Amino acid sequence: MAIEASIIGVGMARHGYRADQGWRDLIFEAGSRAIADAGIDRAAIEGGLVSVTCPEAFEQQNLGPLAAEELGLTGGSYAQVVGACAGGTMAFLHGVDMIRSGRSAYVIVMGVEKMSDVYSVSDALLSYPDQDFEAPAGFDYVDTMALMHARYMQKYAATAEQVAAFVRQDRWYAARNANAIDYRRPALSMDDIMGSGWASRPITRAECARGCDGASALVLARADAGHRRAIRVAGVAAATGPNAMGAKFGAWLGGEDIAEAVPTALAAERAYRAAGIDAADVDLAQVHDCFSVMGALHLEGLGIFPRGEAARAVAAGETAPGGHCPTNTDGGRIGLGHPTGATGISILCETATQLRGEAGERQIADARIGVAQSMGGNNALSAVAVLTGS
Amino acid sequence: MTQMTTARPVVAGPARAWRTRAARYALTGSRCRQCHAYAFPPARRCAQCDGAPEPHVFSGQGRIVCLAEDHSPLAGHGGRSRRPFAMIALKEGPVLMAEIVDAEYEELSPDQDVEMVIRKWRPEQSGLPLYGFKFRVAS
Repeated sequence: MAIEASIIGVGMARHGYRADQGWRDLIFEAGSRAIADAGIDRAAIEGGLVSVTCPEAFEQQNLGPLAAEELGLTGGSYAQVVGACAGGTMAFLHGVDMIRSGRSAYVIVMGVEKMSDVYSVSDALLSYPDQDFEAPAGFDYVDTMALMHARYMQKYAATAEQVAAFVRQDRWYAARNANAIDYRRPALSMDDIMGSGWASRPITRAECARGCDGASALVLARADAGHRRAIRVAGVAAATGPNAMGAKFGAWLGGEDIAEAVPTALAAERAYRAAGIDAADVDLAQVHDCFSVMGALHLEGLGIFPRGEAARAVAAGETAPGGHCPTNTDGGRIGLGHPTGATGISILCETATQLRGEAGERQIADARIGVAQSMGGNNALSAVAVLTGS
Repeated sequence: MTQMTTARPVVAGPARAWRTRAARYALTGSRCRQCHAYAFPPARRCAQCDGAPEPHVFSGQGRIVCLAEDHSPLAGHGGRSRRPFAMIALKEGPVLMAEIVDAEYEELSPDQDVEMVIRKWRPEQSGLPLYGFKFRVAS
């Protein structure tokens, strides 16, 4: 009989500008909380993975064994995983495989980032866009995604205000999440967002993710281990596509280009099939809104809204509590913060917390099936996980 | 006190820039010997038929697909406080991302014809500028 995996422990270090904390402090905070939440002896954990995107910021590589040492997890199999901003979910995917293969009974997957130590977040992430003809010409992520934003509006007749509605949604949830950079901050008006100045037109400054410090961790176990509050990993999959912007034109048969998240659609199809669900069954979703428009692209990739309709749906309140599919209930990359290496784990922490019914004032009623998605590069990699509660 | 800034990541050495010179200076991509599909940047294998491509110098003529405007140029890419850039469909088919020069964002629109020019990209570690393709409104 196939071995199934569950999340039994969730831990996060608050996301934000934490200049007094180093990466070791952050991963200790998140990892310790996850182990305590799991309620197991740390000696039972046999291995794990650590996701990070910019370890150059703190001049330390090989975080797997170092994190294990920090948490007193010596002797097991630990390694560092890099998958751009999807690295956390890729660490999770491989951690789940460690359980399913029978290799390990308990695994810890973690993510960490120290953005406040870098000179410029945009510059620090410059090794992720195309290094031959895009980054050397001066284009960073806000520029590549500004073109995705422009193309999405052009192709699907969405307005700038509809795309920007993701920011208001994120702020509403983030204001209710003590781990978020925007915790207890007031609601944003559309004038606040559209008047915040251009970062890279048509993206305004308020529509950008907040690169910041943070860490998150999950303890995984065999589903048959009988842990209370366990959340089942029903499906997890990843898919890739071209990283360079131009290469996306003509890459797929359906006429998709930079206005669609094809790898997300491919990964979602596989994860849904493994879980035995379809998009209509999803009760809540976390998507990779590193810039407002990306939230719309990924919601469409997940099949939660038809192609070209997600921005309008968000503006109409369909991702708010009580809507068709509450989305980014932790505040998303814009409101929670985006410690890039941790993000792919943070979205799973939120999903598990919601499915346990422990999300407090942002709890989504009757949530049973949650989907978490993260993106690495310019839609070069997308990872999708389906979690189910009891 | 003057704060020293560099374009990051710095170009590690002259060989790295040298390797991409044909594509940056002459828009040299590739054309499949078997199915004649074009590619830019040059392909090592044809994505359509898995055939073997050969170098092909593109005309440099194209049109704007969609347009944006950078308001936060990276360190080392100064000189313009705002700069329009676009996805450009080359006449032969491939699409690439490039800055538009000699025009402001408000003067540009999708479907406008453009042509390639050579301009400075960023400084190399040696301090010498790296040059590459940009586009301007077709004459």
